[in-house]
Parts: sequence; structure tokens; C-alpha cells
Amino acid sequence: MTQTHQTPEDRLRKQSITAGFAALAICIHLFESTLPSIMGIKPGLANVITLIVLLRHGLRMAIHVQLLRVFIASLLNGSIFTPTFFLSLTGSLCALLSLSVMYVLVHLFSFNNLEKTSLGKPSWGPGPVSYSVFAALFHMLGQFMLAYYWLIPQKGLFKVLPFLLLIALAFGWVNGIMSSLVLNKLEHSTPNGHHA
Amino acid sequence: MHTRVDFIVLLTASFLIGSLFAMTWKNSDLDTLLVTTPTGNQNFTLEQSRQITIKGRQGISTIEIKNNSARFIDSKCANKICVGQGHLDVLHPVVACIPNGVSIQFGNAKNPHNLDAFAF
Repeated sequence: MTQTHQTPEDRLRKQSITAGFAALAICIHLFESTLPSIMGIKPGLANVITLIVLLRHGLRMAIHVQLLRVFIASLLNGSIFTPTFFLSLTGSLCALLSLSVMYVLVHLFSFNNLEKTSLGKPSWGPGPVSYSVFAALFHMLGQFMLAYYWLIPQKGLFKVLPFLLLIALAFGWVNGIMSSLVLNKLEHSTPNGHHA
Repeated sequence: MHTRVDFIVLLTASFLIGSLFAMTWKNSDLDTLLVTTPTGNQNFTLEQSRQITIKGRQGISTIEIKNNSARFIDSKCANKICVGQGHLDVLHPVVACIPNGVSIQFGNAKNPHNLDAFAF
């Protein structure tokens, strides 16, 4: 949260980490776009990467990774500036907004519990599951509102909203658990990948 | 893996989504009984319990409106299949007395173009 003076080496290292995570997220996004969708819904596995970046490297890098993923993945799969792209972008922006608000509130009230959380040891403060569920629900709400106001302005569409939110909750939960497992692994390993 | 706040968030989200289901899928927007007769269509409010008589092709059909639903209680037909169908509900959204040319179904007088189904 605090701005410190960065050397060119630090900046280059951060840019490399951002590029690495963005590449990983883009690969997952592209892989996911080949999967068959049920009711037009995908699990959003690439959001696991955003969540890990947010909780390990901070909000700014998470925003960079998320936006890079949306733009480059859409460019690569040929959907850029199509309705699908704008739905994806709106969902991502809403998810980022919810994550940002939550991240700032957590740091404001010193709730950051990442070090305290471990398997089978629940503690206070929102963990990766809370972040993931919020992001998934706001992602879905953002996409839904854009679809309602832009593509299908029909009030009957609201009958589908509870189903979509229920599926978003389920996928948000699963993604949160996956992020939590990866974060736990990363916490117990050195930067070289060896277990401490 | 889960913190206490995680459990609270999951429970709250589940409760809110459940409430949204109840709000969007309750039948309150279907506040009218649409009756189709050989001479035209008629609307009746479902809020007031009563019996109505409709003149059909063969004679009189008697329809009971009660508890925001409706059913045929008598009709001038041979087999009384319409009476046996019972109340209008999700499984029986339309009940008809074919010989007498009278059918009943839920409707919304304020928004007659409301969606009746959706598909993916």
C-alpha cells in the first residue's frame, strides 16, 4: 500500500513477475475458452492467478495482470471489441473493483490474515475464499447488468440472475479453495521453488 | 483453508441468492386468471375468492378461484377431465375443458408480454 523508492532492478523484477503471471493467466484463459460452456458459463480459472497475485504482490500488480489477460486473450482468440470482449471486460472491472474495496478495507483494519491462515486452522479476517466469492459474484453482476442494458433489455432476464449468481458462488468458492492451496504451497517454498 | 469470515461470506451470499430466487420466482406477478371462452377472453383477479360461471359451447363451466389459484369444479362435459385436473400450478399451468371450449391459465394483466419460458 505504501509507495517506496524503486531501483530500476526492482522495477524490472516487478515487470517480469507481472508478465509471467499475465502469461500464465492468458494460457489458462485460452485453454478455458476451448472448453464447452454450460449456460454460457465458464469456471473462470484464470481468476485464481489474479487472486494469488493480489494476495502475494498487491493490488496494483493484480490490476495489471487482470487487464493484460482480458485484452491479450481476447486479441489472441479473435473476440476483441466484440460483445463477448465487452462482457468479459465489464465483468473483470467489476471483479477488480470489489477486490480493490475489500483489499483496501482489509488493510485499513489490519485484517490481513494471510500468515495466520493454514489448512484446518480457521482464523478471523477474509481469506482467499472470501475474495474469490466476492470477485465471482461482482463479475457475474457486472456482466449481467451490461447484458441487460445493452443486449437484452427484457425484465424477464432477471429470472435467470439467481441461477447465474448461484453458479458464480460455486465457482468462486472452488477457485478460492484452489487459490488457498496454491498460496499455502507458495508460503512454504523458497523463491527457487524448493520447500523450506 | 477457510477462515470464519469466509464461512460468514458464503452463508450470507447463499442467503441473499436464496432470497433473490424467492423474489424473482414467486407467482405474485401472475395475479390474474385468464379465461378463454368460445366468445372471447376474460380476466379475473386471483386475490378475491369466489366462483364464476362461464358459458361454453355445450353449457356452463363453473370455476372456483381460491388461494391465488383456480380450478374447474363443474363443467358441461362427459368425462370431467378438466375437474380431475385440479388447481392451476407449476405442473398444470393451463387447465382446459376442450368439449366446452373453456380454458384457464395464470396471467399478468399489467404485463401481458411477460416471459413465459427461457431456453439456453
